[in-house]
Amino acid sequence: MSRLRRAVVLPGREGLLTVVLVVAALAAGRAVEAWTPDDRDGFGRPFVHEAAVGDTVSLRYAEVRADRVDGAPVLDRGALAPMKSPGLWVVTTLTVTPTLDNLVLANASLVDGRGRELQLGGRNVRLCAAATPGVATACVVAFEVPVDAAAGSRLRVARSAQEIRGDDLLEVDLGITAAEARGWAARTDRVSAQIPPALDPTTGTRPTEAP
Amino acid sequence: MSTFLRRNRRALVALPFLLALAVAASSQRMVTLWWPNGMNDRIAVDDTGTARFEGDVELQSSVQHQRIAVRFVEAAPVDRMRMSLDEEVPVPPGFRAVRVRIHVETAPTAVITTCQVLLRDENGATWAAGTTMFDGGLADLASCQPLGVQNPSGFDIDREQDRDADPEDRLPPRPAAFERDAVFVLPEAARPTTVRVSPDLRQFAEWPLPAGAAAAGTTGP
Repeated sequence: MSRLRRAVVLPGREGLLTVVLVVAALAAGRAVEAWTPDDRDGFGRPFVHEAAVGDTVSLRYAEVRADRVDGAPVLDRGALAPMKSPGLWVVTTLTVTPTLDNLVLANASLVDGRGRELQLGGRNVRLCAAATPGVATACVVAFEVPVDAAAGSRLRVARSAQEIRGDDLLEVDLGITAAEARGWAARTDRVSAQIPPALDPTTGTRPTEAP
Repeated sequence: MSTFLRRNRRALVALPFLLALAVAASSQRMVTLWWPNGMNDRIAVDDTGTARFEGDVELQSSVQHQRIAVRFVEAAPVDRMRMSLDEEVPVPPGFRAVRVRIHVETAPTAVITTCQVLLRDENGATWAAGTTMFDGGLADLASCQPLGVQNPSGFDIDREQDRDADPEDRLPPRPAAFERDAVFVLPEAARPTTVRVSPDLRQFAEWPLPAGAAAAGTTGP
């Protein structure tokens, strides 16, 4: 018993202060950890560049411009069967000029007016031509969106399909209004999303797109 | 100064340095992103102009240890570009082409399908060989591999069973030393300064591109 009493030494004032400081340091560390962004939404977050249709944005790997936005219930895919949507196909045409290395813009998603992020896969379409630094090329993306969620949609594009952590990402406000979306929903003609024409090897220019 | 501060002054002084050390230690998270996703391992070029790469390459079901010696031989402007294996066309207006020749020594069994020859400018812009930006153009993804010989792939293939089916098996084996030309088609305004070779898209070696090699020229590839 006396050994036990010798082993258990009650802390003095300084000992208590040390304990309080250690606990405070642990609490502060926990607070900092909770406050700082984690792998999912912080360290793993891309660098987002916001733009509007018509703006040319310099990303780390390319200059990108959303040229045109169009929409209709039926998507024309050229030789493939057209796709009819109960909502809308929102089609964006972009011009991409790589600055870093040969590039195919591989990542695209659309944040609709309700804040939902629609990914590629399923019926959504991404058709982008290969390009080399200094040469402008075209890219077409099409997303299926409910009519009442099309207004306020933003397109997000990035270089890699797998890895966007720490890389540049372009977010374009497509400028779609509710009235415009209703107008597109009433269209009977098709909106086109076809493979952008590659450069003509005899002229070095891109053939004019079919109307 | 209170007794507590006096007694612990060394630890308190050390605390900021320890915090900095802890932050540095966690930098492996950045390395996880940076190191495997780029050409970050520069290999020196020796006095003979040769870069000697060595490393393990993961194949479909095995790991291959490789030694590859690469030497930049020459570069010259050309005025034709290859659109397929048997078709060449003139380089169109607004573009120019450069032929780069490298000398490679490696085992005939070495899988070098990821090995690439690249051109770079002073801003880090990098051009790959091939003509994929043109309608019907040709990709030259394995631009270190010689043409017209057997090039081992990283996939398991039953050679005995497929011997008659795979036309590549009728080609001669790849020699232990060979030269390979890669043709780059660049926008006219591009000013490449460096030839880069990377066997695994992580290790790389660079040689300066001779002045005039990327100028407009009239020789054939």
